[in-house]
Amino acid sequence: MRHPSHRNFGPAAIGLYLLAIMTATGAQAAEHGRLPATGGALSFQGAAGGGIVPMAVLAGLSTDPGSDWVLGGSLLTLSDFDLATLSFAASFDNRVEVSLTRQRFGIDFDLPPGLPGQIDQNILGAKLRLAGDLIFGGLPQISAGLQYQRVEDFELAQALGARDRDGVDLYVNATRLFLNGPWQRNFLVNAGLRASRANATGLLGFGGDRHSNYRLLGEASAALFFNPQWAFGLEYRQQPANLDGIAASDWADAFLAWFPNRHASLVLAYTDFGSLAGRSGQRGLFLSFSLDP
Amino acid sequence: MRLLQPALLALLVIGPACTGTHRADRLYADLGGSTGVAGLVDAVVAELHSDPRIRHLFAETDDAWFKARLNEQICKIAGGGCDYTGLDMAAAHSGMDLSEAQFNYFVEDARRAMTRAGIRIGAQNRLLARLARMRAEVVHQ
Repeated sequence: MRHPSHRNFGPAAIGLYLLAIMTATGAQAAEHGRLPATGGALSFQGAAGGGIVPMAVLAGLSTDPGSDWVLGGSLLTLSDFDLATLSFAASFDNRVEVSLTRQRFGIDFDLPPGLPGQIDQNILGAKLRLAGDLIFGGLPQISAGLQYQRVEDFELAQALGARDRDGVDLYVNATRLFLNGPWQRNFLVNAGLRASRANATGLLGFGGDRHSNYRLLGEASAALFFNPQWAFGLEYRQQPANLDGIAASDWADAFLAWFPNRHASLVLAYTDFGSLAGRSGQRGLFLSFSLDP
Repeated sequence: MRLLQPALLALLVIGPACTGTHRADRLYADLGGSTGVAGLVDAVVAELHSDPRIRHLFAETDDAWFKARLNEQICKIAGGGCDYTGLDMAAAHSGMDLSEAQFNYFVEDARRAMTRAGIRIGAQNRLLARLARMRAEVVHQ
């Protein structure tokens, strides 16, 4: 079994996209005038939000007119798996977000011969703010997004009964920050619906021998800010059971987020993924960072 | 830890229900009364003048006049019983075409000033929630 650190982390792909997006949009003239922390973190699939659930907020702090970009990454360790991600996301006029993510999923137990112990996935995401605002006015911020995902190492997914190595997720999120929430603290609420065929967010392919069509999945998160820099929150993300005989638990975590300034965020979470790829009791720690130069 | 799902549900349902349920008019006292608000206003104006992103907007401002109006405004919305004698917010910002970013920088400076003035987070959030309602009359006028 190869260890994640033994292979190159696809920096060329991310670097090229980064360069293309930066030059295409002239992001050097960017105004990023949103309030601190209102770009959230970069989730493990690249879209702005929390750790495992995206939100309606767009990456960075772009206001209209302006653009901003963010670099993020995360590490997740579970009992029998680990996941490393690297993401780049940019937002324009606080209206559109694009993101690119490379994931490396490591399997930390012996697999039958011929199945690689490492699964790479690429995710290209886009999100559009449809209406409302995170903080101001009568309507919460509402955004719709899509993710095109492709698994490079499909052998394990196929062996478990997955149909396809690529797929598209569609999602809608509504997010609101109440300035004067419980205990007179800023309080964030986020709820979303996702149409997806992804098994374990695509790490185990798309569709399956038990169910292969799109399913509607719910996800939600909430966070309480002790002060403008520190928040505690919870996330929940429903998972479909598409693979015959393979239990798929919903994912949940409790997190602590730190926004030391306008340029950085750090999230530490305790995760409970339950049964994943036929292995039960998958709990662990999740750590993510984002940098907004 | 199957507690996470019910805990999140509780937070999602109870959280928003608790918002804004504060003892409305203790805010003025929590800001420190007339002394506290005067100190806060001084701190806000000092922050605005030292913020390179928006200080040009206040370069021509008569500080004594501006502080008096800001004091009345905060006193009024915090339940201190003052009358606000200035222009309404839309008229006061008419023709300035302030951007969302400039409004946010003001909020950020106000937050920093409140911290510097020793105002507790809870009172900061209550005041900001009330100021936030004026945003539509300030931005893009």
